[in-house]
Amino acid sequence: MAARYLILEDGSIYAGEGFGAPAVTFGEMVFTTSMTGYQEIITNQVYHNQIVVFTNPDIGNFGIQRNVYESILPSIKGVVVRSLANISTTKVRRLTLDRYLNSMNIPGVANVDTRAIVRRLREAHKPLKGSIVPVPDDHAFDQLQATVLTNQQVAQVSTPKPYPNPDVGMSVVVIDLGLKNGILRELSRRKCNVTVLPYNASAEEILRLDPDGVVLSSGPGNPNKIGDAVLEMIRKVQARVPLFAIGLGHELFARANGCRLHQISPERHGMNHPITETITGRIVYATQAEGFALSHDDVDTAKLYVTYVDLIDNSVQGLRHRDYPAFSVQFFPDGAPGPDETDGLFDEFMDTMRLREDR
Amino acid sequence: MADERKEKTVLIVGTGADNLQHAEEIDTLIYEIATTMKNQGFHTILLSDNAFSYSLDSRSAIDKAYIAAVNEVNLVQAIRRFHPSYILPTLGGRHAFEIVQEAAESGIFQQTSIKLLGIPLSTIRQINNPLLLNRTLHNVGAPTKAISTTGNYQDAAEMADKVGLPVIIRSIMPAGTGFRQIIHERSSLKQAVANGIQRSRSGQIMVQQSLAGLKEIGFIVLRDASGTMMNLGAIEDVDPIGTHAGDSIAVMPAQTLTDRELQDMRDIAFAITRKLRIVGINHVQFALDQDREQFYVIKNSPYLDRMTTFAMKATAYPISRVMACLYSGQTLREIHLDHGYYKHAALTEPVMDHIALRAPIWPQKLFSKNDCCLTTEKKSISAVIGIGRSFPEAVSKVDVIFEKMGIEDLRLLRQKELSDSQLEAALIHPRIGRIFLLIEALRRGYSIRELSEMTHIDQYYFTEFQKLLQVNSELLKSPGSSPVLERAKYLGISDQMIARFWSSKADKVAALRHSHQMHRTYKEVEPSAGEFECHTGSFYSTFEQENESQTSAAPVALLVGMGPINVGQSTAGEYFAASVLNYFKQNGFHNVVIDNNPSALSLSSLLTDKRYLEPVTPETINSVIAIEQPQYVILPAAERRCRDQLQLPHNCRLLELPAESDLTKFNNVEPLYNNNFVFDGQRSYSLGIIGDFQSPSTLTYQATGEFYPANLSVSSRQKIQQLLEQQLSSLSRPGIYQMILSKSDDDLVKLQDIKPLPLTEMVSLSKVLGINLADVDLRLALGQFDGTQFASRLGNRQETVRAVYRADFPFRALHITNEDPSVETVVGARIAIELLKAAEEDQ
Repeated sequence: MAARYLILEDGSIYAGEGFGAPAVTFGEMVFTTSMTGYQEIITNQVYHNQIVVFTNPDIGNFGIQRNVYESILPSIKGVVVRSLANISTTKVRRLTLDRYLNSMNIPGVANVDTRAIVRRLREAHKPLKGSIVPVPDDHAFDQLQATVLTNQQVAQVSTPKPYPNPDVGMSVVVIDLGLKNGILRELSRRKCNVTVLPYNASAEEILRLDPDGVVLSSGPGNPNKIGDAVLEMIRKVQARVPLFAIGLGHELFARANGCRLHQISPERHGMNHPITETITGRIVYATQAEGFALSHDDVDTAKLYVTYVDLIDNSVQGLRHRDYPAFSVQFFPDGAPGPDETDGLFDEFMDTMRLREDR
Repeated sequence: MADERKEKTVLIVGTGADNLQHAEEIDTLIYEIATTMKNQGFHTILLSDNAFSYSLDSRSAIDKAYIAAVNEVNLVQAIRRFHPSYILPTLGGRHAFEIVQEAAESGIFQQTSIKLLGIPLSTIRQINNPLLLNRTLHNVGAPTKAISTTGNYQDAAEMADKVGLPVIIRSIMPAGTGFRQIIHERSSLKQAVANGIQRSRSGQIMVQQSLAGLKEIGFIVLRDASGTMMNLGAIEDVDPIGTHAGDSIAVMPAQTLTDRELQDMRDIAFAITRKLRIVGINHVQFALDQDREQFYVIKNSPYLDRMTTFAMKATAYPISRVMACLYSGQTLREIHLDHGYYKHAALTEPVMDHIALRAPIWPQKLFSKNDCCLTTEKKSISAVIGIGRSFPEAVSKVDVIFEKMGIEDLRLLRQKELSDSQLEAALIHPRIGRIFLLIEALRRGYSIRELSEMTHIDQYYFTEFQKLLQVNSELLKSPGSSPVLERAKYLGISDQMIARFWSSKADKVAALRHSHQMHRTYKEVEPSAGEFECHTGSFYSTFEQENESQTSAAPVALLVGMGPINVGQSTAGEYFAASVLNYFKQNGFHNVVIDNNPSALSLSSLLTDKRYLEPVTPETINSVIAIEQPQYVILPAAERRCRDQLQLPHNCRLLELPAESDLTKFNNVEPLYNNNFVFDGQRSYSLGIIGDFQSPSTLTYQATGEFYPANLSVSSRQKIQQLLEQQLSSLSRPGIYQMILSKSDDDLVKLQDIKPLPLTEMVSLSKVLGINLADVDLRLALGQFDGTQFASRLGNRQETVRAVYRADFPFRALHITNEDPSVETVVGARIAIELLKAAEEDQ
């Protein structure tokens, strides 16, 4: 492995060895404490324009598997890890992580002090840009400083045109804000007849398909930078059909109903926080990938009530509309990777759709 | 007021002597859990006859020590005598469950309205009865291995086709010796079925699916009374099923499992734990068949075991403190851990940014001439933990221990003497020291795929071993090269090992290292993987950019740990270490320990402020000394030889712990007596005379069975007193000593030896006299001994107590025959103490 460097905009340099593609990339630095599912994390579009530091010291241990992609075209900007295992094993795991990242033009850095990097990110109290470079010279830092990261992440990862995922059950429209395959997997498991629409689909375009329900997918970026058109679409759709919003979808659902979200630093990526379901007090664990949070004070309680809370920082993790059959969670009930203790939310969505049909 | 206190009395069912099933971890866990419960207002009683238990003697953990054999009769006795409100059955292993069920069936729990903590009686019944447990597992949808009974070949063949070969054929109700055969080929099935049926009194056989060769995975689930459950971690064994989990290297977190596999097993582990209504730990073990995408539940242990202490050290999640809170009735959500933990840390699933290995330690001494194959019977008696920032680094840390223990024929270099066919045989039939054989096979050019097929060990592990081999060959090629040295240190290879490759000395390697600024950096073991600011006081070393361990502000006492126990040693050393730590703590010191035995009591956060989970070698000790600048360094006797290599700061005092047991093995045909006394530099204080039992196998007298006080005539006693006074002038320094005396048939008493009192006897005598002699010994060494106070504490106890001490040996558990019991093969001991009537009433 050739020498590569991770540099941060605050001037810090971490020397390591490169893997994956020899490309130079720029991205926002985040770290994840997840100990499983490196392939799912790397292929999750929620990491668009981000360089992800794995605190789990060893990844690549069983190569790449054909059935666990969370998207086909990963848009993560880099992978940082302490130790890389370069393995391809049985026929279902033909690719090594190194070869896969290379073919996807994604660079990686291994053999760096990831614990030191995580501390730096934690103590910065603001998002930091980073870059993976072959030489950490002034030029590299100048380029990093000059780089303005896009705030059009959703537009960049959302499907440009609709496509179907037919089945025989309920008809569901999924709005692709950076869709994660786990959502489609859960809907398939429940025999839903899915149509995926671009993020900028209008309420009319959606309702024209006469869906039993609508899912707003998870996705990358800053929810406050998404245009009013999407919020308007949500307000119209929630009044007409059952709505289930996840991740970025939840953040937009909250905004559409009068909430304000604030940025958190460091971002929260992991699957170990205790989350409580407010109505029962039940504790669940679920995968979180969150750069923005909603405080209780910022919930418009005339329209919404809180269903889930992260006990560590008391942030709102789930909402339900008081007037409409619409609800949301910020964590990923589809797991992949992560616990599936909350996959019952998809069943709840199915029940909601059935109830409406019965009426 | 009295009623209130009575309501909170808890009887802890402990263990007898240390045995192989739950060697040293139990005393550590009892100490930590009982101390926390006591702090929460419980009155704690412990039933145990472990002669070396520190908990029994620690009044900060246990209010009342009930020293008696752990059986149903004594449990009932204890209940009648102390009227506890609660019984805690999860700290005594499986045995405690058995006697609790027996006691329950006598109806005493209803009569006295005693409640069980941690586990309902109905669950104990299921754990004790495999049939009941299997039914429960089936009810929650937990897959278990297929078993069916039949009396004919057709059914057996059908079953074999259904579950796939291999299958195990066993005869039911066997006539004479049982029949058990594992069938790999269809052609041998018919004969086996016939044999099995023939050997069965009922003409029936059991056809069992064999899980050999599958991956073995353990989950540690924690549940509270409100039903909240969390996973403390998944532990993967390097060796497949077929080798006992305790004999395999265990890896945390699991390395070769997909997220789907992990989540599916997690769901089942949760479902079982919920169904069994466990409050506390449940250790669920699985066999995973990755090719068929199937897994099976193979074991469910809702009690604390070796994996509890390992997981606790590996993640720094304070399991024992949390358990004590759960037993006190708190929920996970209500538990607030202070001491540097973040909010709701008790309820946050621990994550790791390091890799922890648990490597078994085998009693090499016993197996050199016996069978050393690893099977489904456990053969290890202790373990070490190795923590690194990569798998090779963690391997290197456990590797050091083999070198230290002088297990020379297991070493890498020696494996070269095996022929290829011998090596292959050893790969297929695992044996002690397996890891070195795996590495040697790789070195000889066997492909990773080939090795993985032969051994059923995941390719990942061979790929990681290859990284070590790569650096080894670089080391051989370039002696003295600093870039290669840097790569070797990055993989955790010790200076000693590098010196061997370079035909050099460890201190020369260290000098080269220091001249290139290659210093250890320490990382804190904490359960958030850096997400939160969190301080646990546990550290491990690596060679990276950032160091997290700073010099402590208070004066430091550094205790060098005993490492893993082996035969001939015992947890008596831990007793002494804990007493030393307690002394320094009382005197305002900041206690620091370096050790790699995950179950060691001296690594308890109740006794130490800072812990380095590192192998104990001059290299690692010096590195810690350089950071901590201790005022005292306390060295166990076993580490005496590294004394000269330590770089002690100016004014630092080195204290040595007494030897474990006497190396000159007294084995006498004449009765032996041990006269024990404290010598403060001027006068002696008698601790009484111990008599040795005659060994039934060798007919000699030796210190593996003893009684107190010795039955001696007045004239013999006077003679012994005379001998003592003659010897006093020859003693150079204060301490606790033992005279070994023999007595011939004509009552002639002869002095055989005089030496410092061995650890094992110091600890058991502490229990007999009710005085912590380890503490006394330390005070004598430090010049802090108060003779008058000591004499008054001794009182007339010697006249009012009788005790019997019996050492325990591992032979039966290890299926070893023809081995002589001796002080060199002791693993633990039981003690019985009786106070004479008058004294009892005083208490």
